[in-house]
Amino acid sequence: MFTVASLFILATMALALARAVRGPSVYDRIVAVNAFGTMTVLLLVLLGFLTDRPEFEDIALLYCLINFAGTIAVLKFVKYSNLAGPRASRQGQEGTR
Amino acid sequence: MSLVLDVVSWACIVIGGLFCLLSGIGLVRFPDVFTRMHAASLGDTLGAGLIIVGLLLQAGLGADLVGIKLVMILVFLLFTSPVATHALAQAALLDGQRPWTRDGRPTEGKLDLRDAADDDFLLDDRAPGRSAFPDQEAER
Repeated sequence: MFTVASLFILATMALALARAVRGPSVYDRIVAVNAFGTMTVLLLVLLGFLTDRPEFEDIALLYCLINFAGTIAVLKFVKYSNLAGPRASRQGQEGTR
Repeated sequence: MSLVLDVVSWACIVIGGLFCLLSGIGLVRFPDVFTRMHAASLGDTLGAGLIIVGLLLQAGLGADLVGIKLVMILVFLLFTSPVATHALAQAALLDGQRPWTRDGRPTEGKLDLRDAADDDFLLDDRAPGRSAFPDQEAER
């Protein structure tokens, strides 16, 4: 049963990767990478049960947090063109709008 | 009793995997960013939830922290996934991505939120004329 679910999740990861490669806008790619990260977490947990090694859960827990922080960081970078936030970018782009 | 638990947990894991697969198919097949976000959130909530509940039934809340860590992973996923999706939707809309409306494919080109006539579909039906982004209106 773990194998079946792992195969489903591997197929999902392939589909998300296809969308990340194809996706017309950068937001499509971010959605796909975020979904890919969630599927990685689930795959890690399932692999831990499949191989009877509970250490994998720690990695999954860590990856969960890294995935979230990474998505927000990439979004912030795309939205403001820097990682500091709106105030810092407004100084640079004052005349553009 | 153990057999019943096994059957229930196997059903949960396989159905969760199927929901993940559905979210992947939706991610490839849906037409625009916002509908793809909708598809991705299916795997984040039902897929992850069912798989982790199924694994919890296998592991039990034992003394070796396996079950506790599973619950923590589920809680983190349930907190972070809506936040990430919300931030992504806001960023995409402010950048000018056109949502797919019920009339079919929207016009090409970027959405201009400064153009009052361009964001008609964002207005609330109950209060015509009110913008969906009042703070941005004030900023201009």
